[in-house]
Amino acid sequence: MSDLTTALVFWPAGVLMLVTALYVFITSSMARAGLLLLAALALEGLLFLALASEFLGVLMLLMMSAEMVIMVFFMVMFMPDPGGLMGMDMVHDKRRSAGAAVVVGLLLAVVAVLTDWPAQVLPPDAPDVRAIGFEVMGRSMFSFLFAGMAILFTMVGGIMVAKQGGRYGVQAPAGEVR
Amino acid sequence: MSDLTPVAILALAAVGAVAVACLETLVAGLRPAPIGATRQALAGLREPISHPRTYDSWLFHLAPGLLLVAALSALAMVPWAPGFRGIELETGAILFPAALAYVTPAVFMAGWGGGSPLAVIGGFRFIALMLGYAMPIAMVATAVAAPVGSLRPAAIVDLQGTTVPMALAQPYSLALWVPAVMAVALLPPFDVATARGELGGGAFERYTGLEAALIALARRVLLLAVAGMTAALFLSGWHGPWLPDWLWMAVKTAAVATLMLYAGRRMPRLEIERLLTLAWKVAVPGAIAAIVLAGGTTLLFYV
Amino acid sequence: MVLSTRPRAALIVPDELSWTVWGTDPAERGLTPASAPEYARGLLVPEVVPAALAGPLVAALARVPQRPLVIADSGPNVTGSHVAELLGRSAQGSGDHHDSQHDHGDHGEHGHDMMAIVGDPSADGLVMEPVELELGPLSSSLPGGLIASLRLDGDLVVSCELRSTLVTGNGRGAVDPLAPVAWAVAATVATELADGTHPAPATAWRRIAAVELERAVSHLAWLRSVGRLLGWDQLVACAQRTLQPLLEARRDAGLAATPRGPGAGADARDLAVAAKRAGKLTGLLEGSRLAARARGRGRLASGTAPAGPNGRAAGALRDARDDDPFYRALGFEPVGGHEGDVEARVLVRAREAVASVALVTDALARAAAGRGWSEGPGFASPAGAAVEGPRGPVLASSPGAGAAPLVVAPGAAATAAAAAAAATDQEWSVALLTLVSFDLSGWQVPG
Repeated sequence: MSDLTTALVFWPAGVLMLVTALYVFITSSMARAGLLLLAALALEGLLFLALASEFLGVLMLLMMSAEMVIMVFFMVMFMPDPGGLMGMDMVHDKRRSAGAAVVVGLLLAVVAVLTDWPAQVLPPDAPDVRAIGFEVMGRSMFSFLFAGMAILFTMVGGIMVAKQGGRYGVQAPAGEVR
Repeated sequence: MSDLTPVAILALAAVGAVAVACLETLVAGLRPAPIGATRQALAGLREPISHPRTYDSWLFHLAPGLLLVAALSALAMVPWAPGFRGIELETGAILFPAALAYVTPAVFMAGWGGGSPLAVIGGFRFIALMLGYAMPIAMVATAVAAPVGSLRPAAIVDLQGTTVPMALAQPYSLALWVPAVMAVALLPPFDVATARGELGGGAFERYTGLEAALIALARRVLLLAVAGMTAALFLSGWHGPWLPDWLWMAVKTAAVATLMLYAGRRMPRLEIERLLTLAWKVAVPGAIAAIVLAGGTTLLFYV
Repeated sequence: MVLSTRPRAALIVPDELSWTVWGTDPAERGLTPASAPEYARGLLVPEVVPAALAGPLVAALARVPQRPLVIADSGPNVTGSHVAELLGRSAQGSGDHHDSQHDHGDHGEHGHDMMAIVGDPSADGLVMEPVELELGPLSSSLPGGLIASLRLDGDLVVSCELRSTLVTGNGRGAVDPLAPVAWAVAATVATELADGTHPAPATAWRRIAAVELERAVSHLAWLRSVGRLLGWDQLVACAQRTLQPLLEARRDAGLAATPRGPGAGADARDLAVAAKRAGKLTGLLEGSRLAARARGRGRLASGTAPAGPNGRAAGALRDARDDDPFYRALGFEPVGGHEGDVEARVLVRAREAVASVALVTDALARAAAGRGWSEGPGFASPAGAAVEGPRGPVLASSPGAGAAPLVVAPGAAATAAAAAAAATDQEWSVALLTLVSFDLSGWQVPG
């Protein structure tokens, strides 16, 4: 991609991503919050594509749609007022969290500015799929394996801990079709 | 890929949707009337759009657009002929499941925004269904790409031209792929989200006018994309004796679509619990096994 | 091979089965039921719409996007509004979209803390907001006129109440519009028993043929609606193809109303074709595809055995035709099942339809041959007349010469209660299939 095309995709997508992410916390409907977050992360996938990281961008688009829909599912299941009809305030502990956000933001900004990022202009047909494949199968295998397992067990375990009985509740013997 | 490719894909979507509609009537044993059906569809555009009084009604109005975008993106990944490979990307075989993955939020938005309890149930049923079936689609695409060493769909087609079709080399992959893509294309017997008769109109119940037309178009484009990709990935695409490339592809796509529609007529809709049991106990472990087996076949036969 | 054109999706008031039983099958008019009013391009409605359906019909018409093609035909004798008046009301109606599913939305239990949901925990130990849903009298899944008040916990039906809202004529002249022949025959026979007269043999055989034909048509139309509920297009097409020659035969033989005398015979080929197709339909239902959806689902609570095919499917082989000399001469045997689940109820009705077609053929042949029977009047019971209708026995007694007979269908209320109980604590699709599997009627019949 030429520099102009990259910039034309990168900057508007980045700004829109921040705006939608902000609206996630302004809206009080769970469905809207989850789908705005999906929009933000899909735009992030678009950012990856603009930066010539095709595989990672596609992977972001693929995984985030299902993941955000799972999040909407969980939020509607477990939170009161998922429809947002009573205008629940989504932010808590405002002073401390604002303070923490400012501090962390400043730290990240300092890191971003002072780091020596590698500046490379990649040719358009750089074999990123191969590189990612070797990386995942080599150095990063353990971290991906454990991260994936941990997420799966957390999700399933969380539901099992919260809910009693099977699909039909506590009084039905397990697995019975009535 | 030339500059005309997006236009060609849109034209293919429009013509293909009419063809799929005719195929649906034929499989149902009725006389297809493409001109009458198109005229009726265009007359439907003049109907007013319905505005259900729900809190999230703008999700309701965004859903048809998202569904159509997902369907068109999926269609763009399918390679139809050596000269017309859609929007060819190095990661096309993974972008196809990514595009199909956006059908899930679209159906959810349609159901949730529609507001009637049965529409909401339809939306949530689809989420539950696709959580189970989205992974087999992506994993089977990887399994089919393994012998080729590339995620480009045209490369997968070309390899099948020199060796055997993937349907013969990896039949287990085909067995996992077909139900999963039928589920994502909202086809019976997996149509638990739009269960006509059981959930009223299902997740898409409240749409009229332009939005209903967009949804009808998107669903047919989805079937076309899914059938085309099946033909490309498993039935060696445009390769075959005597007939020109695009005609082979058309014949194979039509055959796959007919089989999918026919299978849907002959079975009652599956229950959501049975579908989820099959997804998590059979499809997902099966897809992981398919990748392992594909790796084995690659090392034994293709390297 | 000439293929027919795609049928038009229509709002069929009260439902498809009613029209098939009354007169003309909607499919013969090129109509198929629309799953939601938004999809309807036509309207099939009786000229006088029952009072309970007037409001819901206007609400449903508000959701139909463009002016539908209206077909109004004569229907049963009810008090209600004329269809033209309702169409006028809906045309002036506002853009307000009311639901014919009267969903009350999410009613949180109102505690002091608006954020907390208080109440009893649902079956899985979490306190959830139940959704109250009324599947209205014009629902595409349920029989017309039946209102199901459901409480849903997610997609599980937690509680279910059924009520029939349609009222026919008044008093003793009432007839169940879904089984007009059975009721009319019962009334006629009761009067004859009271008067001490006997019908001519041909008339007696034709009465049997009419009752059995009504049963076969009702069961096949019901199987078609089950196919629509299950999304099983092959079953719908099969039932439709079996119905078509039967309806032809009914028209030819003039058996849509109570036979009062000898009449024309039906084309034997029609009945033979119908018999063959009904056999194929039963074969289709006996396979594993129905079993996967229906075996073990919607079991009746042990001990309850309502009258009619629902009870026979649970093992209570009570049939008003058992002791009838005419039926015995035709070689009648009651059809039953053991399990009392949805599969049993479907199979019992399919097999009864097959048996009924055979009985019709035989009875019409005997009517044409003029063979009589001397062992006593048909349809007789100690209290008066007993006719086995499609949904259960229809009993009639006549207090004396000159007075109108009193006709009742005992067990209709018990069937509805059993259906509601069987549908509780089931997932939505199973619950709906259970409700439909009882072949309930939306009409309030005295019983």
